[in-house]
Amino acid sequence: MKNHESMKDRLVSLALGELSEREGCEVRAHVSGCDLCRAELVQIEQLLDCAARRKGLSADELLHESARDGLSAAAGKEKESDTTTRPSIRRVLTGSRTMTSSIVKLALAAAAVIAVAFFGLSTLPSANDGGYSLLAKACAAEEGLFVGTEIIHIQNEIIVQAGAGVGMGFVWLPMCSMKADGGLRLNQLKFATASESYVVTDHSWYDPATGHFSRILKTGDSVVFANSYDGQFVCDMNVASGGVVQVNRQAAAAAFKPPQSPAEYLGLAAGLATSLSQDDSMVQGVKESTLADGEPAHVYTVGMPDPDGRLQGYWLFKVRDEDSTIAEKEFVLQGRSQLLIRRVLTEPAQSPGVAWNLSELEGTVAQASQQVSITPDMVVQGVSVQHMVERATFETYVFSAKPAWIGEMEIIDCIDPASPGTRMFIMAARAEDGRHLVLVQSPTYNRLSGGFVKQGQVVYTSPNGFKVHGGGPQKWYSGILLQSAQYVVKDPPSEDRVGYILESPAGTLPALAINGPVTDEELHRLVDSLAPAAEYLKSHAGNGQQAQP
Amino acid sequence: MSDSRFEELVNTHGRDVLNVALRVLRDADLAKDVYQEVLLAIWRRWDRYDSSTNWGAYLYRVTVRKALELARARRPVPASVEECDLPGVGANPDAGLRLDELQQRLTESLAKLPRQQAEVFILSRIEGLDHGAIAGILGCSRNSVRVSLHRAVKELARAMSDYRS
Repeated sequence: MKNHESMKDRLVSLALGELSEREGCEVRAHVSGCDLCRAELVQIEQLLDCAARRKGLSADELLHESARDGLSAAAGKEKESDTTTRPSIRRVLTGSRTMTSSIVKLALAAAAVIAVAFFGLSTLPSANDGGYSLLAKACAAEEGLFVGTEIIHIQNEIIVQAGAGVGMGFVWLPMCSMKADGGLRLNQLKFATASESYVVTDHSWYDPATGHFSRILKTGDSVVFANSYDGQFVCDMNVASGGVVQVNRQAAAAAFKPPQSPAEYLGLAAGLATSLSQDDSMVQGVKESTLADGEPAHVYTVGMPDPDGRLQGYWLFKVRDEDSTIAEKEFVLQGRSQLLIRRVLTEPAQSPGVAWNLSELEGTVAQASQQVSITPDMVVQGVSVQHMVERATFETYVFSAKPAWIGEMEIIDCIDPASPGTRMFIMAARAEDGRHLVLVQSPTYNRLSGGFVKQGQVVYTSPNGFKVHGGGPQKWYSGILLQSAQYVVKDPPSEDRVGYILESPAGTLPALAINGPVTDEELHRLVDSLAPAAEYLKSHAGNGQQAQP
Repeated sequence: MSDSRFEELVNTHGRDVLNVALRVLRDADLAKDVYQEVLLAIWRRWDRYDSSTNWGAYLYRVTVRKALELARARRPVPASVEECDLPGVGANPDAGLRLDELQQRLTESLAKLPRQQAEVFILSRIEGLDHGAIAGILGCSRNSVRVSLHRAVKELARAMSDYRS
């Protein structure tokens, strides 16, 4: 028995990999001829395998959030000690949270599309001075930089603050580039989280006489983005294997027109005129300030408050009083500066710093940037049902019968920024009577809208298996959804808008917003007509390229 | 130390605390309890820590200890044949498998082991730390770690064997 106990120790050593090769052979030789030891060794190995399987267990973001919320709530219940002057842990943690609350994530997911209206797609008339805010004047003033007879060079810098984007691992900006067909491509410019701040420089040259332009973004000496027009070709770049820069040139289509309003694509006011001049509801406040050079300025706070009225994420625009141009813009998330974008210089130039056809970039070697990356097609407008089915990573739904009171439905395919690697789909329709409709289907909403469901109540269960949840913070999210679809609906969210979270048979949580009151019958018909997009495609074979019936 | 240092502690190590607790207990709710209790306890005594504290080692020690404490307090859960699905758990290699009764038994058996043996086994076989690191965390010698690990393996293997039989 003693010998067996001794062997048991050696079996443990064998299983733990502690024995030399010779010792291991000896033990294995014994085990092969001893049923008892063989059984013991199997038990030990099963135990160690059982333990090793746990190594892969890790908490996901939701569990982490929930734990952190629990910590904050539990601490909030504790009375602070009389002997301490420390603030409550709740306040400390709440103040420090970065991208951990569901609300913030949902807002950021929606903000991806808000960004379209905000920064990108300027389809509305340009701002004028009448009746609009000073910020709209700033946008107009920015436009003034691009007129004249000389080439204009603008240099901005993007400062990515230390720790920006903690929680997601990155922070991002939407960024437009021009395509050869005259359309715009909206890219997602991603900045990796870093322990120290870093700078990306943004150079633009524009020739008012010809409409030629070139734009490059650099980190250090490496170019990470380029876009230009030389009168014949629209150029951009990609980095091939080995870090070699390749310039892509495409002949400008007949429909191509040089930027008529270059400030919408270049400079600090890019796209701002689109939404802010039409609807100042996102401007949360204005205050007087001074710039770093001592010049007086006004600071505009622009963002969407959360259901409790707090601004989780917002932009600050510093507008120089002297010429009404935008001197700085800063993105703040939960009280922490994430990005600071500021004008470094504006100057006339004899020639562009980078040729209009980007020729000097060809063949150069760009050091792979660990910090900056570009994801093209952040937003793709007017996609088909088939496109949505092919690109979605979850069950999507379409309205199989369009209600009479809404117009053409458009599907927008967009990066879901709070669920990296996935796409969200916004179905939007403009209605003659102003009751525009927006349906957002997104992995982030599917994960996080459960909180809204709990706060509301079921107002309808449809024969096709949808539960419709109303109430809760419906004003808040319907406002975001409608704001997100400004490109289609054009009107600002109305006071009597309504929102619903739809619980689908597949367990997804599409969010629906209507820009005005609906009757029960209208709502029921709308929801009853929802069908899985894949099934819709099958039953409308040959019609799948169309957005909606 | 400043409040911002506590904030930094939670940001830097909070998820590790949760993950270690989850791996010991295989229960998302209990893991959250451990997270909460460990960090609250630190906050209450925040003034007593100094900047030289090795938070990584300290948190390993107190988290494993607290998780074992909760495991001991928990009534044994009868094995079930339901699907194994830990809510809120990502990268779970067991996902989709039937509830692993052996895993349940392992947690229960760990709770019954002498404290140091259980801590050594967890740090070595679940957390994957080497003997030197474990000795540093637990404040004992490498040889003590080795002896505790052997004893733990033998005892756990026996307990699991009893269960299977």
